[in-house]
Amino acid sequence: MTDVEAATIGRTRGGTAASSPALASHFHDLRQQHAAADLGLWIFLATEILFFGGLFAAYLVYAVLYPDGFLEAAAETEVVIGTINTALLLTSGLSAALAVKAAGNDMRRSVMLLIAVTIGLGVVFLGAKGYEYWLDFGHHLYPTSPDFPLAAPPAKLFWSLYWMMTGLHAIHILVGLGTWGVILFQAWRRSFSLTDNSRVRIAGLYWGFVDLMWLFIWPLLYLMGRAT
Amino acid sequence: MSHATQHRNDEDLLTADVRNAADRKALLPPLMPELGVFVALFALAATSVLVAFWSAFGGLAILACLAIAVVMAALVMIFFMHLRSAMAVMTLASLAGVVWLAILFGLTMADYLTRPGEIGSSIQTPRQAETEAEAAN
Amino acid sequence: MSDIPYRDVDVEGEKPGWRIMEESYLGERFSIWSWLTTTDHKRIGILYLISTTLFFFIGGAAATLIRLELFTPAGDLLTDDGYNKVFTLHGVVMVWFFLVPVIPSVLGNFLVPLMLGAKDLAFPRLNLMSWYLNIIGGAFAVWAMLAGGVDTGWTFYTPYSTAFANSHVSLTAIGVFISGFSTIATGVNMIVTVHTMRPPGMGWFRMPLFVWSIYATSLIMLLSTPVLAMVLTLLITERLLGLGIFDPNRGGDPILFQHLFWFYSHPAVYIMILPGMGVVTEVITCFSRRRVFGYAAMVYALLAIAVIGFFVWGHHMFTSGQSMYASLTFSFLSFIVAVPSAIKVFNWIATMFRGQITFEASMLYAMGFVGLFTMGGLTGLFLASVPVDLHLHDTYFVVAHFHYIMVGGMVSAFFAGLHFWWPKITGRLYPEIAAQIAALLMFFGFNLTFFPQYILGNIGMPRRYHAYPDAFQVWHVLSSAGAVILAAAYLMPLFYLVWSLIWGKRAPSNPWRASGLEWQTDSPPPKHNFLTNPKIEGSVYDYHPAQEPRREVSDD
Repeated sequence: MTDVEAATIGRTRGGTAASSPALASHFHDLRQQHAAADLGLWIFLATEILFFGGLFAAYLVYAVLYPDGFLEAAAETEVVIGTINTALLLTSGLSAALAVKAAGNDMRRSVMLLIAVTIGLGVVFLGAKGYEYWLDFGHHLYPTSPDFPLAAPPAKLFWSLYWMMTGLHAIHILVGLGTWGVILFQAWRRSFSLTDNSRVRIAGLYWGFVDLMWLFIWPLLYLMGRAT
Repeated sequence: MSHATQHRNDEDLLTADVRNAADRKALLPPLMPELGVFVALFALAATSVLVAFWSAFGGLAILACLAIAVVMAALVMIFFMHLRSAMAVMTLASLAGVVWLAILFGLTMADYLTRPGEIGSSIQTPRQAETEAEAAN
Repeated sequence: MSDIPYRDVDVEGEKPGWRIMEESYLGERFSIWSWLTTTDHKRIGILYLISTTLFFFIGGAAATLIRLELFTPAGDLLTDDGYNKVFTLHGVVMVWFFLVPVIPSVLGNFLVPLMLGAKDLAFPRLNLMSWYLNIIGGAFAVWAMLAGGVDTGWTFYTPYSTAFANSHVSLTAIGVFISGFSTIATGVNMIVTVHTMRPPGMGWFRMPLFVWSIYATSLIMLLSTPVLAMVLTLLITERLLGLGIFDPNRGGDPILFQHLFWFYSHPAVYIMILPGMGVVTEVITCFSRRRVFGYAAMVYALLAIAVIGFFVWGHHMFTSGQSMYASLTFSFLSFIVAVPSAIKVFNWIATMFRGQITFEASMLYAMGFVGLFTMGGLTGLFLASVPVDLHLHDTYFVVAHFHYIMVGGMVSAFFAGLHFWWPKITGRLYPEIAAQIAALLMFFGFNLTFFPQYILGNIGMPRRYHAYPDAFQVWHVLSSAGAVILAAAYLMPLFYLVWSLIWGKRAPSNPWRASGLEWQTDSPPPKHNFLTNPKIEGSVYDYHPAQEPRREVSDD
């Protein structure tokens, strides 16, 4: 059977679905294809929750074992930069969600604008993060530093977790920015149909997840230990 | 897929046909409810900062901040990640992640919270162990 | 053994063999490049078959060295260090590059779309990527071996692996990390396929139990593998960057590593065994000519094992310093997981009861599975009870227990499935007598290898030692002798299956007169699986057409 024949059968079985170049030959119709793509990404996000969950579990155990050491160590993080970054990510979450909505309405200009805004905010986030890392290095706040400023041994545990959490989150931001970049380029080239493809929706979901993780990293690393 | 979803999709198709080209060239899609949610998120984030710096709570402020984070996360998932209009199985998938996380946390803490002595006292750095051994000698 | 079903299969209406071959997924294009860039789930299944076979023999070679070393009490063949590296290689390769992918990725890939009546898995390119990730991960593990090996054991326990081991821990951990992505990709693909690709008429409770088993397995893969990925990341960053999460000098707790590790690795045991249960269900129903006993119970048992499997990890840590209350909780939960496992065993036996059983090779393997799995499962209960475990922990009893499940169970099930679907996969029949001999040899060889290890463990032989007191030698010699038979039993299929590719008889589309959608298409199947949309009528396990005399006997 050729691909064309297969697609024909898929259409007749799928009933009313319009033919679209975006429809892969093993799906009956676009509705099925979109459901598969969305579900696939949600399942992937569930695995991501558990991936970060391993780190959060380590944080939970040590914060319960050494509450004082953790409060003391957490007071050393750059709370201003962390909070600005939260604002940046929340705003980019809004622009990404609107980009998904615009793509559903086939508004190409709007999609391109909103993706560009999202990318811009993400880049500023990474810039702020880089500046923060530079400050941390200046303060010798990395566990292998001979001049590590905090005395309690668990402070080094906290700072190990700090580098792991923010580092992994930054890697996720980078992946998200790359994805948005490719989609922006493709939208500009008009190489795919905004309504028939799941691309923008998928990228939006992933970006939402990156947002989500930061919402927990922010209080755990930056807001902790401020009251004392 | 349920009949309701199918029905909604048919409606979408219909409105897509009716929608004129000028609409597609607009610079922004309809802003609600996302903008409202965004304002709520900012308000929650500001509350979180205030709580964190308010000394009345002491070290426990973090618990309040995390509770606020849970609300914010729910808003992000429901509105920014469109769980509101997604199939039930996707909500189920995301909940599975959270439930299994709870299993991981719960059973791990079942060990740490029930160890003998004060919490944290069963863990010794090698140096502490050495000093204790010397003191015993 | 005279009643071989394929002899009475009517082949009159079938197309000539060359024609089927030409239209099949095998005949379309033949270049290496077309295979390496394929997105056809059937071809990817074959790629996985080749790579897992390769890893099986690498791991098997390591096992051979272990059994040779243990033939004599003195450590004469390998140094103590060399021995550590060999058993680590055996564990790492067998667990992550053979047992975890073998049934889901070889048979699951090939069969799930066929059994559902779909054209492919939901994400064909992701499927191909998962194979590449798997072999890249495997290449890292083999590279680590060639560069000098790893000596931590497959469990990478801290603080040895972070603070003391000088071997290539990070390299191996990176390999396992990468293969974890491959597992997740397969899991996502399977779950999404089952949810969204079922054609009209294929309801949830009409799916073959093999598909259900792959579904349950994928759930475990998706929910546990990320935690392994994280714990390996923490291990690697502690070694390479000094971010010491488990470092006792900073108040870090090495037991936390074990918690996170076993949160993956205990459910991983069920990743390895559940697909085997699915295969065995298909084989037993076919060769007993009986409807499966208690279909719904089988489904719920699979899901129950998948879920409860996440609550029991602490039984690996009874002697680690874990709190006694946690140990008792984990012990209790471990006993609970035996219930759904027992339901499955009872249902297989009830399915065979009053069946018209024929003893094809795959049936022999499947029956071996039931017996050996029961044995392995029951000894698991010994280990789940805290006081007995304190005696048996880290002895050969544990080694025997999990080899009964993994090798006796899973590898038997894999061979059962491979023989059962070999005509469908390749379009050729394998030589039945040779296969029956291999199946029996494997059963006897396996028991001779691993039963003595139960005794060894009980009289005090610890695992992971390359030298031992003379008193243990007789059991070790028995075990090594069994390993020779086992090795022969594993090599035989390699020869006669390859032989059958060239000289085997052409297979009809349904040589076993089995029900199930995959048997409605040609052997081997055409590129898009079905030339006409398959008919989904009746139950998948309808082995009782109205005329058959056995129908009168109540069957449920």
